[in-house]
Amino acid sequence: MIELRDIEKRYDGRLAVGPLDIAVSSGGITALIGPSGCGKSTLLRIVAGIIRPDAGAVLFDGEPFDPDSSNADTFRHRMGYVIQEGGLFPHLTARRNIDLLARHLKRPADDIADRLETLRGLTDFPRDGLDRYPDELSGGQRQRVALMRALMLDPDVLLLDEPLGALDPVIRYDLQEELRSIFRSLDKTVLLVTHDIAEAGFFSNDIVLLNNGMVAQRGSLRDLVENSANDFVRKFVTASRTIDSALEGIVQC
Amino acid sequence: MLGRARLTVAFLLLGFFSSVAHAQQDRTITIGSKSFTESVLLGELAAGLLNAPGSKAEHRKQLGGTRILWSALQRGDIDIYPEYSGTIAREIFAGKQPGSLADIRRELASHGIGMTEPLGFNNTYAIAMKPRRASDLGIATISDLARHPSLRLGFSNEFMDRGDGWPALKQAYALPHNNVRGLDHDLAYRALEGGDLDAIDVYSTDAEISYYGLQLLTDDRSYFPAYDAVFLYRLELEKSDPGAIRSLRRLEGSIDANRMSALNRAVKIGKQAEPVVAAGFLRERFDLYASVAVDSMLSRLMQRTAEHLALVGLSLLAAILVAIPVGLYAARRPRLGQVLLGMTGIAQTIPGLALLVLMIPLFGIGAEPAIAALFLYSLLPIVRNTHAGIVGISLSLSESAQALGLSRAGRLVHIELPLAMPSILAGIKTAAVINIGTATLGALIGAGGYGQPILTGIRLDDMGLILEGAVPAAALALLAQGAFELGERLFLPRPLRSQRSA
Repeated sequence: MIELRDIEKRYDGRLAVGPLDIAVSSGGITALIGPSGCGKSTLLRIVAGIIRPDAGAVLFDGEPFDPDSSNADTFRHRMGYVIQEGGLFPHLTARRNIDLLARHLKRPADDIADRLETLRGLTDFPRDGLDRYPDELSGGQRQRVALMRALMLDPDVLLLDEPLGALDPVIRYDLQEELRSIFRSLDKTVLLVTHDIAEAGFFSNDIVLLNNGMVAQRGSLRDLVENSANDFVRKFVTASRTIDSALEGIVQC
Repeated sequence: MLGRARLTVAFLLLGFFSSVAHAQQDRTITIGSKSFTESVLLGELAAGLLNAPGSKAEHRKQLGGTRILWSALQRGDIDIYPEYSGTIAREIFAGKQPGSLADIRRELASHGIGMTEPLGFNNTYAIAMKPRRASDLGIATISDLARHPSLRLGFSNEFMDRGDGWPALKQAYALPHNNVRGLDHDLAYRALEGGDLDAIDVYSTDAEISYYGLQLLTDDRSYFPAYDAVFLYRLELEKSDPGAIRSLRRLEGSIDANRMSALNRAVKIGKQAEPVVAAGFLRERFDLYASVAVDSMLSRLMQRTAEHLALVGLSLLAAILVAIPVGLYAARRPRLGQVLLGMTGIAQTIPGLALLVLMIPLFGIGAEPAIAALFLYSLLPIVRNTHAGIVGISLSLSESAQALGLSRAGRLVHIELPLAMPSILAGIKTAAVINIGTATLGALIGAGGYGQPILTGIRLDDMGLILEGAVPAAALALLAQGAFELGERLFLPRPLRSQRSA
């Protein structure tokens, strides 16, 4: 479905991402993970066509996607993109945020209304929230609106950059559950960026762990934990503190 | 850039002023006058004589100084205006200094301008002091001034930098004074009376000389030439409208210095309107009964409001149409953007009056140059705020818009412009308020508006008249401010409204 071929991205002459090759198969969920600055968000933005790579190509079903070409928007319409905090337009109501593109593309009003209703059901979003502005919604509701906006044109691919990063833990926990069931019901190719190894494992069996812009290891959570390819991977997967280890620490004091 | 702006403004004006253009086709003779009472009176006299059956004359009063009138006459914006021989010789033809009236007439003819015979009085420049102060210091002649270098001198702005004004006088008499101020001629009398100044320049027929009982210092080196009052007119009138020139020439030799002083006094001290005083003279001297229409205050106010709104509205509209695209472009091309912002900034640094005068060679006198100048003034706040509004959009929002796959035009219309709108509106509001104030200067070049009564009020020392212009101008500025804030509340989506109007 998506293929990144020999991708390189430099900032101030320094190689920030790549060279790397990643292929994501159709219908699967892939999680990009790594420490801050490892290039995972940059990589996702390259796929979304927001950043142009300095070398290499992004292919959709074998077709190269050039963000500056005249048909770039047709590629973008096949992708939904959700970022941390949602990236919602503050001057538009939830409804207008969601149907902005469809209306701009002059899709029939009935189709838009039907699609909106379907998505509202899918994300369990309250009907009266549709006419509120983003700053009148809770953080979780804003993420649901962002998700509905991304799914409006029924894209093949869903790109999510830390979609739950700004939420508090309880809401985040609930939304993780919901999001996973949505992903399963949709049957779309999902590429998700997170910094949380547990969240990556929760969503996906295909985790790509990046370090300094290169793939450190790719596999399931179990692979990464049990067959760590190197010290970096070992350290990264064990670095997160569990409740149990935290309690142990208190007892030992 | 300027050419295109000029074209835009000209296009906008086309519809509005077509009626004026029509009037000109019917050959209305336009008389101009400078912004002091005697000139306005002479303009009224000419208008009264020319406004006979079969011809129509219009008087555009108090259009500023010599340079504005002279260039307006050459361009044909006006056909006739009163001038003084000394001014023509020393100021207009400063490089050539023609001596006799015949020389002057020849020089004028080479510019396509004709001159009547003198009207009968010599309104020369003179230096005036309060007699008490003069006698205390033992000053009777201009030469005596040199012995008192600490005296405070105040000269009319025109006198300050004229070829025959202060710089040459200072040289001719070797005057050492450094404490010299330029100020409005009508204010100078009050400053002298109040003791803030020791000596000022006056016109020898000024009504105030006798009113304040001032002493004129003897021009012991005969520095000042004769300033015989004459009318200048476009020579083509002799062919196209010989009757008008015949009427104008009836004033030759008809007004002596005492009579002119008396007429000036009737206006400045007697507080009569110029048209009334002029009509009185014409009736007495030529048995000419001209009807004097004195507008009611309400109709005056209505007319000035219409003029002022046209000045502000047209210039602001043109500025909005030009400045928003320029601001958008500047935001997209950062390096060129700095250049564009700098250019509009430069227009802002030119003093209002200078900018108005700079527009005269391009647009003549009247509303057009004022609108062009106000247009240039309005650009900066709108360009800058448009630029700031676009640049200030957060990266996450512009990336979201891009990732969504909205076309460039779609992003501009649905995302960038709406998000920048509060800033753009604030810029337009600033431009409008500045514009309303600055437009009062337009009266100096014949644009009318609220500046007209302010200008007349300063000239006649009439606070009521000043307020008649200043109060509506201030009210209009407040109204504009309020209208923009209301508009913000009505048209901006709630999250984008400023806290104050929420």
